[in-house]
Amino acid sequence: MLSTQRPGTPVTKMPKFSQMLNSDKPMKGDFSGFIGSGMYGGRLAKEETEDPMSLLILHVHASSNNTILSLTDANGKVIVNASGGTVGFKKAQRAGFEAAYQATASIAATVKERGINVKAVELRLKGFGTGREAAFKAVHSVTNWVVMRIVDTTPIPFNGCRPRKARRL
Amino acid sequence: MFGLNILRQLSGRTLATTANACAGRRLMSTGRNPLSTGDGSEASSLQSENAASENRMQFANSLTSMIHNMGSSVIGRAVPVTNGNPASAYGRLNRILTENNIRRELFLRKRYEKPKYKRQRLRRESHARLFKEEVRRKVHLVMNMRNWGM
Repeated sequence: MLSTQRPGTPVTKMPKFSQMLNSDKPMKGDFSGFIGSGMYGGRLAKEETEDPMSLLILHVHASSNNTILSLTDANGKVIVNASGGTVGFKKAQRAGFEAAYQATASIAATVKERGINVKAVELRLKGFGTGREAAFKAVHSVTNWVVMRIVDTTPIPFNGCRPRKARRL
Repeated sequence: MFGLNILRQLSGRTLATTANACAGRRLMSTGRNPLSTGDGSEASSLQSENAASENRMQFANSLTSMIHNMGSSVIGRAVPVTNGNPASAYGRLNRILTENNIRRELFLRKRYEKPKYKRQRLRRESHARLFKEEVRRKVHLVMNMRNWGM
């Protein structure tokens, strides 16, 4: 690579990955790079990226028995909680479509009530219950939030713990 | 474990390879220019190179921050919403999940599958896959023969 350069031209070194890790640019733990550029990020202004309230994360834990929703700031600090049970459903009905829909609606209502300005939202979906689709549809229809990114966070073990034994044996 | 699909979603590049590949290509091109070209082209190429390296630094920055925030196993399942259309992003996410068989794998992992049953299942699946491939080949052959007029 260097041999084909003309003599006398200044050598521009490519920054090595190790240099990037050691540099004091915003990196680990600072989520401003998180919102940053292009492909994976949003288009927020520089002053907004330092504020953890500028990007809210809606965690949707959709299990087969219930759906639990949690609106947090970018660092993970919880703002509002809602679930199938908090909106008045009991037992098996908490797992349904309607419960998750109403739970997202209740989160939207609480946020409006508290006067929190929602600029950008990231959806983190965990689990494959009925509440997954329902929560997404509710965010899309009931609220007017700008969704920046949709992430699937279901924990997938790389051959971790041994699951429970098979049923009916 | 997730194969090439997830890497493809990350536009199939790792940080080191893009940096080195692009740097190599660019430096080689400036080397091949004849000595008669003035300093203008050299400066502009350096500027564009710096801008490009800035872009890559920013991308690497955001990616590492995201990995620290979300986790490295989740990054491949993160879909940005483009053109203000979350429904299509959701569809893209579902496509990633189905192509990588995540739902099926989670369903299998819910209950422990003894080694005996796992072997049987794998053999069965492999046999079905090979059989279907053979049938597909025969059908394509018949279709081709019909086109050739036999």
